[in-house]
Amino acid sequence: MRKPSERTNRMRADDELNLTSMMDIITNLMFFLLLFANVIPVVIIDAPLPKIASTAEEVRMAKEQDPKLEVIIRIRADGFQVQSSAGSSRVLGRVGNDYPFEDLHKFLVGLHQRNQKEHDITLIPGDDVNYDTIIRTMDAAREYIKGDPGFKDVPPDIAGRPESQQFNRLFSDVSLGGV
Amino acid sequence: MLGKRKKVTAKSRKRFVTPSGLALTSMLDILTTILFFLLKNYSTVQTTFNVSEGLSLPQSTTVAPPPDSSLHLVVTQTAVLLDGVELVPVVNGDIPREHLYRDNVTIVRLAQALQQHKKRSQYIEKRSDTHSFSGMIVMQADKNLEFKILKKVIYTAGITDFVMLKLAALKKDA
Repeated sequence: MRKPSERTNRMRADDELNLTSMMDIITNLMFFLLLFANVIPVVIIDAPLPKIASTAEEVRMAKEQDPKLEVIIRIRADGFQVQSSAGSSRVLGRVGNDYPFEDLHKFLVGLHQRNQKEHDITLIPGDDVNYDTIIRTMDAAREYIKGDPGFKDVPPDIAGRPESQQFNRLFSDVSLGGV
Repeated sequence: MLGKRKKVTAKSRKRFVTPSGLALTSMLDILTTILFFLLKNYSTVQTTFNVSEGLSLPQSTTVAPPPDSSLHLVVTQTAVLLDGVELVPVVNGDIPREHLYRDNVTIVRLAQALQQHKKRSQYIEKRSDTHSFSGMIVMQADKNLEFKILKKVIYTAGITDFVMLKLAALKKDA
């Protein structure tokens, strides 16, 4: 019988890469990241506190400015009271447990149509009003929504991005009063 | 009698050998893609914002992203924290009177802590060209808290020159 040659019987090195250990590393990393990466989409609302004029120059400059449209929303336990320097005033009562955010939005759209350059608004919440209601009031006042007169379509490439907020500004510059 | 057997060469043997191991290459591709996706998200979230535990933020339709770096003021149902340090307890949805100044609005320990942060920031400002005290503060507050407690917190921030108040919320899906 012929003895197998050393050439055919020798150990051959594997042609493929051994990926098992790399797979282990990647799988471990993945689970680690999945556990600790709390992907929570957090957003920010600017609500700078009103600045008190500290110098005579600042007081003079404030007086020289053109008369602005001042809009104040008082958030009370029983609903909203909206006042504006243009003379319009409205009380929007709560319907059951809900605040009338849609009615408020429509009223603010009507106010803004008269002076579209103004975007300032002051919110004065009552002591017993919760934070969620304050934020929802800010949302109702921030921008025009589809169907409002004056609504402009946002280009799709910037939709959902911070730049899109320049398109349909209503009363987007919020100050918190009553502090 | 045995038939004539075909000669088995090294070349033919090699041709018919089926791979015995699992083909992991495509799976590795998928995992690597997921890994890069997670790494990208992980770095974004970690450098910008961490939502405190036990806090239920309100939802908002705004799309403004959080600032890269700022002081974080957290108001939960149980405590007021500044940059992760608990300063004052919250009892029955309000600040206990013993933690308030004589005006019944200023939160003493919070005011002291904010003053320290302001001094530190101004000290760095004098020695650095890039850093400046902006008075920016991000407030994370529980959505069920009433304004009576929030106004004390906001007022205290205001009198210590942290007037650039930013309110954190969760992005509401359209």
